[in-house]
Amino acid sequence: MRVISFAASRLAGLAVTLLVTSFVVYGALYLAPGNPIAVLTGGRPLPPRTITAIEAEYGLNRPFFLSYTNWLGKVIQGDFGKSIVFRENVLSLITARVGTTAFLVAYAALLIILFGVVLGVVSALRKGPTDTAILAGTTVGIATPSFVAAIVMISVFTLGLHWFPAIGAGTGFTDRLWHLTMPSAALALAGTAYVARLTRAAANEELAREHVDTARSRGIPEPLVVQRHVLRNALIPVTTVAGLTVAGLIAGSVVVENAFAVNGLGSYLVTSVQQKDFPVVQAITLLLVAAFVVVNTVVDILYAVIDPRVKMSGADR
Amino acid sequence: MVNRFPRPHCHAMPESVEPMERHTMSDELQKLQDDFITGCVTRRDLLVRAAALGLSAPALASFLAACGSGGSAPTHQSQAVGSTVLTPPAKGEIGRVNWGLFYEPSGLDWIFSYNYEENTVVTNITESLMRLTPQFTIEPSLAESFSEPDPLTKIYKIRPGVNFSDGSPMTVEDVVFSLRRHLDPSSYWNFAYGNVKSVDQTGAAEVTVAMKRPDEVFHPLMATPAGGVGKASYVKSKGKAYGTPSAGPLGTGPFVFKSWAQGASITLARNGTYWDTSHKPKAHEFVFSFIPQESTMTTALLSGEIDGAYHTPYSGLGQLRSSSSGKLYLGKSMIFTEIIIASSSGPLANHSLRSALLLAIDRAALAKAVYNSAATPLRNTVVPLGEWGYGQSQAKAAWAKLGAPVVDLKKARQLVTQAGSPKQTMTIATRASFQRYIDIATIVQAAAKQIGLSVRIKPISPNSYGDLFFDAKARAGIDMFISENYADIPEPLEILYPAVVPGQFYNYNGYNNPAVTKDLSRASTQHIDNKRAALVLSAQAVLANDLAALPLANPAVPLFLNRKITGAPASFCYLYYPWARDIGSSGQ
Repeated sequence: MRVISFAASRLAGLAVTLLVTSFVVYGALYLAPGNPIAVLTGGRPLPPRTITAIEAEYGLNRPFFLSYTNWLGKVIQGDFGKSIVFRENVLSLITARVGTTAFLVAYAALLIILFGVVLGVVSALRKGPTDTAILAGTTVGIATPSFVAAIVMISVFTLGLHWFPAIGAGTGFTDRLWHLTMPSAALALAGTAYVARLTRAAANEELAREHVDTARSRGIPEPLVVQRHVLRNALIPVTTVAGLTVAGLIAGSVVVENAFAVNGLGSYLVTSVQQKDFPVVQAITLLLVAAFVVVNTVVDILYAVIDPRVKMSGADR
Repeated sequence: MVNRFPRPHCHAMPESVEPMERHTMSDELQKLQDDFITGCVTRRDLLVRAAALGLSAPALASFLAACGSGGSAPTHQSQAVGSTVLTPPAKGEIGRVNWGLFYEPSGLDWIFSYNYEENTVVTNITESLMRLTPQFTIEPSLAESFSEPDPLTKIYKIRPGVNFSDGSPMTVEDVVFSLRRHLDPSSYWNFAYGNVKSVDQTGAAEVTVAMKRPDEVFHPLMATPAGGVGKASYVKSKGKAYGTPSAGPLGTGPFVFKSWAQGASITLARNGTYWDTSHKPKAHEFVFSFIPQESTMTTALLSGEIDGAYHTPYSGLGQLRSSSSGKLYLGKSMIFTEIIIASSSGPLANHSLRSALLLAIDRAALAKAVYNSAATPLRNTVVPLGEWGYGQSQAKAAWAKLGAPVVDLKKARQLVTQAGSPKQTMTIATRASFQRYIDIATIVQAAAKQIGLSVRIKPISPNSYGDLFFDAKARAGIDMFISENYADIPEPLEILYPAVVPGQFYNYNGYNNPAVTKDLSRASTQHIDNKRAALVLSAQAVLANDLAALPLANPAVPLFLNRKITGAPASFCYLYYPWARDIGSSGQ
């Protein structure tokens, strides 16, 4: 029952968040200068009669409120409209890209959690040169923007070693894995370093705690001490940060998708904003906000799994 | 800086001369002819090589005629940037060709194909009544012939035996339907039909376009999508969805729409029953990938993941030039870079200040710096010499009179003084984050400063920049902005008329010189090429002094081809010529 009421309150919160987001984004886009016509015609001049015809066709002259409520009414009926630029259903445009971004983000999240936690734990447990090396490495990692990582990776692994392709997302699972390895790595770099740092700090804190000393003094084997008493406790802050980092990846995918010419949602969002393609921007934004909320909810649920003392409640997050 | 202007058939990129052993005289001649046509040897080299082959003067003359060449040879050609027309012909078939586009086309319906990449793809699927050749002439395509019994009647005889790629024959009804689509103002090519009264079938294989008034620009525009032909029943059945990813286009061209992976690629397959059997497509499949990031495009070409691309980023030309994975060509183009005077008031309304500013800008240095040496400076006209599809010899003489652009700060300062040394700051708009425009604005600002004028650079967001071209409100407070535009057809009137005739949509500063208006208006109704050229050139001579806009450069079309493919035309024709059909294996 508790789970159901928790989920229900989260859902209600999500709906309100989406409504507010859609209004704010629509308004911001409406107020921003620019016009989709320039994109459609490549910025080349056209006679006024053609400009007028285009404006009429896409309702570009309609006042904001009318245009927004019109959009909202259709969305409630499940119609996200048509892209102004592509004259195609928004849903089909998004479906074509959502899988790529989901794969990219999931792959990067996996890398972040795996390498971040492992490096952090190793760093905490192996003092000395290993710790120092990992510390130095993570410093570089945190400081490297993903587009720089992308450029370096392309010149080393594509142009130098010919291991990975520089562009595209591939088709089929294996090909996709191969194509998205470099983009995911570039995307995961900073997050991995961050999570490693945090895991190291959390583990060190736990290692210095009394209950760990007590466990050791009772003769509990070291691996068990680490597993039960250090890692489990250290995982709570790590989960929070990893969850937020992963949710942030969705936004961060923009840069990487552009650098590797990957047909994802992130780069499409940027393009649509530049093109002022209202229906597309709205739909992608709503999707991203929903994904963000869902990831955070999952993190909340994970707390309860990791630490039974944490209770699920609608109000407390 | 000698003779850096683009020329149709002479050019020297020394590395493109193949040092191959040749055995027979006719082989040698054939090769020489190919080299000459593709622009691999200069006229002077040609004369030397022909003499070495013992070719007599009359033989040489007929040889040159076979090359379709005219005009005389510049003495020094080693810098002829942007004059390449063709690449060496393909030696055989090839499987899949991966082609790079710098953005995803918004659609493939020809009536909305008005921008680079839309046309790059559409031209291989939907053909037009006429065709733009790599040498910038207009030749018959789906129309077998064209006649004009009087200036108000244009008759197109439809080519028999042409099928759409679904096997159905192209009919006169299809042609009439297709042309009439443009009568709706929402067609981006509606402007071509501004003087058209009606489009009707007038015979079993004949379409007549009746004009309200004579218009010499209409016919050459039939080589663009303005003359595109689709299958009437198919277009009608798809309605507004025609040309979108879910309802791909259907045409007569050498390639057939196969699939569109949204956001990633468009795939075309070879049309096995293509009507133009002299140009059978050699590639089995073309995959167009969308690569917006400049550095990514360059990398993909270097790594061989992409086999070729037109208009490769100027920023990556250095890497592409020295690459062993393929070859970079700098093709002849109709692109012109200019500073548009945005307002009829302000300091630049003063003719002396426009002249002074242009005299202070080093156009040769600008062409080198901004375009990575892949552009030639324009003289005092926005019409590059290579754009002339007719009246070339007259245009050449006029071009010579214009003289190479000079920097004359002394004279420029005098002009500023004459204009009363205005202290008012002028504003030049640039597209934010668009490096070329930022560079140009910086050059203009520095040049102005040298002659005591002050210029402020105003960056405008990439999307709103386009508004400058059709929204007077967007131009408020702006004195000038930068434009890279191009002529669609080798008819200078197409770009001059709307820019300098009062009340036209491209005339932003109210430029009004009755002499120019009269010349251009008469030219637009003058059917005889030489007379029309004379009128346009007369207007051009006045404009060279009046400077309704400040001409800067004629950027070349950078084309990169992987070493395994060849045959693509190198010139700007790729927007309106089915170029993909000529690409095949290079034999390497």
